[in-house]
Amino acid sequence: MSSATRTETPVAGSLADDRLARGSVVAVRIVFAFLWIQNVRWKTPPDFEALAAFTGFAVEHPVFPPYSAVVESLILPNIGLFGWFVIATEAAIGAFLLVGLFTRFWALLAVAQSFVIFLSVGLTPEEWPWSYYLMMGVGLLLAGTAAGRVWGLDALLRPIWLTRNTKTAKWLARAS
Amino acid sequence: MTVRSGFIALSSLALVSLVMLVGSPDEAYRWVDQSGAAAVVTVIIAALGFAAAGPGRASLGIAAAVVAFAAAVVQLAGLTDGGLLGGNGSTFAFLLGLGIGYAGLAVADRLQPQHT
Repeated sequence: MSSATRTETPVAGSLADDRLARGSVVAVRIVFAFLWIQNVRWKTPPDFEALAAFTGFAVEHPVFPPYSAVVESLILPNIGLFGWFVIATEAAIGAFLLVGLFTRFWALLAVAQSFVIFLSVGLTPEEWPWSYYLMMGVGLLLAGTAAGRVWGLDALLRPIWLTRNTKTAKWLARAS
Repeated sequence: MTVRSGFIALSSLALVSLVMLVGSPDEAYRWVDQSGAAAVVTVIIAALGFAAAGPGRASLGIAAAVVAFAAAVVQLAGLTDGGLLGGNGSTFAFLLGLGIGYAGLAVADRLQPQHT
């Protein structure tokens, strides 16, 4: 494309200036947050029975055999500890996405966690693998659009971090 | 979004979560479980949040955050049997979110330069 053509091309409207786009981003962020919040419900200590059964699908129906081996030899024997890690991770993803704080970081962590869940149940009969592709896609969308900057705490705090010339502030700004 | 509108939005979200509970007897449609005790705590938190939206009252947001964090800890301790609040992991995660939200708004109010 020549420079002349580029200058003549009409400028597309920015997502940030489109009220419907902004509203959609907020709605998706909050619904996605509740997906994680709701699903902390069935992770019950101390034995995490349901989580152990769910995680065990990685061994019964392997998606990626090395991961199945890790689940069988390391995770399932220590499900009492692993379960608390899952609660902490998923509760934090839901909580932070709900209020839009450090949204890019938590959305990317949601992508990673969705991928791990896919590795456990992706080939399990009656599971729908597209659920997990969609979860990864929504996480990427929220990270890519920096969804916390619309009706989220990132909208209020990021401008403050950007004015501070410290490493911590720069990292916080990147995470938001 | 301003700090004031943030307090109103978050408090409204807290109350809407209770409406969803009342209107959804099937747990598949309940996005967060809140028994009677947890619902009362959520109403208190939301009331503090709405009050914090008033002029010069952002410090009440800290009170809302403290109550939410304390309730989240109580619920976390009672994950096995419901505990004092009678909820579960979703209750814990939601209360954690409210605590983070109100604390963040209170911090934003303190750090923003445009106090008039």
